[in-house]
Amino acid sequence: MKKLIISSLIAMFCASAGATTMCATDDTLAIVLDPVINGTANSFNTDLFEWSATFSYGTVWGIATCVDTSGAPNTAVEELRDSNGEIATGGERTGRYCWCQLSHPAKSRWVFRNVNSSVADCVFNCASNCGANVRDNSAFRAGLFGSLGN
Amino acid sequence: MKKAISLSVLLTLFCAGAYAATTCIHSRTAVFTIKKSENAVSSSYNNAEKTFSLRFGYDLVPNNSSQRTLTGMSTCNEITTNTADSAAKSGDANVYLRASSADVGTQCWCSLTSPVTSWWVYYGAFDDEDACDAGCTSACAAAIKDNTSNFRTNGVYLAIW
Repeated sequence: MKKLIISSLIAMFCASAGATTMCATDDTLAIVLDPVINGTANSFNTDLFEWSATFSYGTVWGIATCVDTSGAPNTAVEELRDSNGEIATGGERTGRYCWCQLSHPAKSRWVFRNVNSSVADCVFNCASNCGANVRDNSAFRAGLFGSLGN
Repeated sequence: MKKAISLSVLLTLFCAGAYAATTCIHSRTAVFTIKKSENAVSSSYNNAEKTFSLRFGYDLVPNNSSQRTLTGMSTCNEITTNTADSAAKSGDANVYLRASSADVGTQCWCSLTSPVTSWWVYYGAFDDEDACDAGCTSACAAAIKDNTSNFRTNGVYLAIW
């Protein structure tokens, strides 16, 4: 009887705590991205406009782009276009404004990172800037991790 | 009082991971949860776009019933190796593969694109390029939906995180 009560309480706890906490079991794959926790490492590939950041709970990967559209720091936009009016897909080299997007394990919206002095500077620095800020900048992570989903 | 404290400790331990099969996730985290053993309730595909979608009966984001669909895409190319550069078996992932729906070949690969993403996962070979072009997208959707040969649980889902 005691076991039944304890089991019920645990089940109720996990079921009712949805607002703050959920419990995952062996049958659940949980993709957890915590904006508060800083990363432990990051990497980037300037030519491919790719970056990654490693956290205690896993590694995330993303892409970068340089367009001529500015944005608000750490803020996501629903759609980003290059100077030709095409939807940005990453790796654009058309502007001074660096944007970052999470691509794995979930896709985020484009989040504004910074403005560079030239297109060349942006191209050279954008991917590394994305990776470093995902690793060390909780406000930037909040923008990135807060813009996931369909 | 003693019982209340004991229960509190028990719950704390439970959610601190003392129970090996369980982890707890706090609200500040962005979370997607996938029930590995649950088949999709329906699927659809667009062969022209090389995209597919899978509708599940549970919330991918807890308490958000608008997030019940996984979308993905397929591609046919001539890449036959996994990440370790050995011959890929069905369900193997290739984290370096940068495939696109514009590729051409006989080897069928599948990936998830939204809201969670996966690496490219090898489905298998078709007899010729036309057969792959015509069948790869639907094959991906069906294999993930029904977990054919554990393609979903031991393949695509393992290529997410």
